[in-house]
Amino acid sequence: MKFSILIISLLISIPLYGQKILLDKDVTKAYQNIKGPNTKSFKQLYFGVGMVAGNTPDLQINNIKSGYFSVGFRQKFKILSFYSAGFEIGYSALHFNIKQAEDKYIPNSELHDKEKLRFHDCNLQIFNRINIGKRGNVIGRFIDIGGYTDYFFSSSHYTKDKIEESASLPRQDVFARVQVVKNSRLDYVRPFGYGVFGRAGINWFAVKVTYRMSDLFEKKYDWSELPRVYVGLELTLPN
Amino acid sequence: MFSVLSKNVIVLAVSLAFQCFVPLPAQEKYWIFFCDKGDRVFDPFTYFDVKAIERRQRLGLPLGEETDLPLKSEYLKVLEKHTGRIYTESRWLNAVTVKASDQQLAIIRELPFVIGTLPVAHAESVSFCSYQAGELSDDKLDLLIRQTGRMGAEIFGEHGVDGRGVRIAVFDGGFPGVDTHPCFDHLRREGRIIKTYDFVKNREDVYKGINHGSMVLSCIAGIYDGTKMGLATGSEFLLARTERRGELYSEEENWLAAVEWADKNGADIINSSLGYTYHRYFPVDMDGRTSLVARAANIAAKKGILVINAMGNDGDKLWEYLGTPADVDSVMSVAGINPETDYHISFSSYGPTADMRRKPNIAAYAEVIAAKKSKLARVQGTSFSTPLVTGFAACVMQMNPGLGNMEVFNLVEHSAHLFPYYDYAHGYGIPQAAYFFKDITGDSRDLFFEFVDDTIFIVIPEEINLNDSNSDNLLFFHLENEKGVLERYSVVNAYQHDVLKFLANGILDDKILRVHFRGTTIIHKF
Repeated sequence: MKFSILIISLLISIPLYGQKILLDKDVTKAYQNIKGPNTKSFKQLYFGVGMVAGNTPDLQINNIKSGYFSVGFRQKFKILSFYSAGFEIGYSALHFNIKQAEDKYIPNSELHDKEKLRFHDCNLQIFNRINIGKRGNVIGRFIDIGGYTDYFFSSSHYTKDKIEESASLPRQDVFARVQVVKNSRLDYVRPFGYGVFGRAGINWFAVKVTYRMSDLFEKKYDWSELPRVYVGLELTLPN
Repeated sequence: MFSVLSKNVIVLAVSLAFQCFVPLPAQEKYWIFFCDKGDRVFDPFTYFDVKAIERRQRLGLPLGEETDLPLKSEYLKVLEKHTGRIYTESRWLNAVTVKASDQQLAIIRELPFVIGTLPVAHAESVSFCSYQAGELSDDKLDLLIRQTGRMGAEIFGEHGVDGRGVRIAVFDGGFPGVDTHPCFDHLRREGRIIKTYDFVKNREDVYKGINHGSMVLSCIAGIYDGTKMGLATGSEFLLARTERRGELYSEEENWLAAVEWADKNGADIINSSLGYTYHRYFPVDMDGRTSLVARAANIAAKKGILVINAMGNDGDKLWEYLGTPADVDSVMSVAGINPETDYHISFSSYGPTADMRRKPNIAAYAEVIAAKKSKLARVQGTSFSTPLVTGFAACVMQMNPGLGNMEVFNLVEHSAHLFPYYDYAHGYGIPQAAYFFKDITGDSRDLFFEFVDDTIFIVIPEEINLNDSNSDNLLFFHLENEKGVLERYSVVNAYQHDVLKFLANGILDDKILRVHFRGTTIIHKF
């Protein structure tokens, strides 16, 4: 007999030889493994963009053109109905667009058409979350207070200048109209940093304010610090 | 130190953050429950519509119950003094909704006549629409005919059954076009839209808002160019707008206010395409008791109204299970069927309830042709399965005017194409008009068990033609435990005569195996 078609047993999986299973539901675990934003453990991916707020007299930056992009993974643990804690592991790209003032001296006094300091870091953040209001299995309204530490694995100083044609340097000898210079692994950048942040949001959207407590530049240079406050928006991927 | 620009950035961020939390310092909406009712004088003949009186008399129900009595006016005055305004009154729940701050709520909780408070919940419309508006192509016309044809529209038509005399209340987000669309000409011409009320705007005009309600109504009673879009083209209607435009979220209070309004105005059936899920609840709350709408739906059923509610569209989402009030025993919960395959459509939410009771009850096509504001569209959602079943139930009520709501409920279940087979994706399947007019029981020779040692084989005889049509070859089976709860269920496309093999080991002891194929259900107890 050719009856070895489809064997159903609670002990063994379903071998399928001849028929096509269109729908198969095991109900024994129904309502037992509920996942979601308001469960004991919740993972999510996030993206953030933001601007640099504030300025310093010795090193003026263009706030509109300075900012950051971040992406990371967040793990949240629900401890009480209104309180959670968690951590984030992420990557950030931060850049400062330096205004070209006559008295500029950081990182040097040369003036350029464009000048930027760029930083790439990986970071670890921890946060405490207070949820407000009764909610179901949603993130809901929340306020986060947390701290972070980061490691700058890449830093660079970038300049861009138009090459002016002159008698001593005719175009045909230059073969270019723009000169871009990038200096990497900057000696004057501290590799590690830390700071605090606050975040307020509803469900998948949040506003984040970060305050960098550590200096970006090594102390021995005795330079003015770059702005310490970043303000941004954060979007979490629904899952 | 900060530049003007930087200050602006911070101000913007702070204001955005503040906007996120605007409701925090402001007032939130709460239900306030009272300990007792007020004026005991109640004249049902002035309060109720004549149809509501008729329903109560027909079903042997009292004309006035505790739940029908008005709220105590003194309590309302006190609350009005504290909060400024009463938003909704519910006689059934003996409660009102008010907006209150935390401080106001604390004071209200201390009032001697207040026995409880609860935040007002939000609902989600259980539909999503992939509009393909325009003139009907052949495939759309085919679907339009099949959406009622699958339930036996032709048979009802032959017997002149069209839901006449049955009053249906439709709760939805708005009914634009119902006052102008040619699909509803017959309703307007014969004055069968009895009453309308917009519970969002507190006015009678419901012909604004989202057109979801128009589409739902068309699946109950619309007629396109002589073709029925739903089965209850002869019924009369109460139209209630309970959802807010644009958001597709509604407040629970509108549903509660609408259900009392429907009762007062003589509704025999309530068609509701709302489901309350993750915004306020967890899946474990889907037990038919926790939510306020569940309680209200229960009261409606006790007052003789057949409440028909969509299961929800979360079958392929994280939530997966049904929403409330589809979790209520006395609510007929409707699942979605894919018209192309004739079994569960992927997005239709699954049962059982959180306390493992059987849901859904019934199913219908969840992809249909429906009337938009001025055109027709192909749309999806269990929102549209629900009105198809509502139309069917209205026809059953018309044929059995002496039956109560729960008797009609049972008849509709018994008429379904899978009955007595059942599972948590399809319920008892798609109701069939043929059940009421001819014998449609399957031929037991279509399927049988064969026992060889410890093995049970399920066999379709060789003489049965297993053609290439998937929907004809669908074989359903489930395993039920000793508590009556299904542990596993499947749908198989059977294209060989030897379909299934079960090892009758100890694990299966006391379990019941049911198998359904082409109208025949066979049962084996291990």
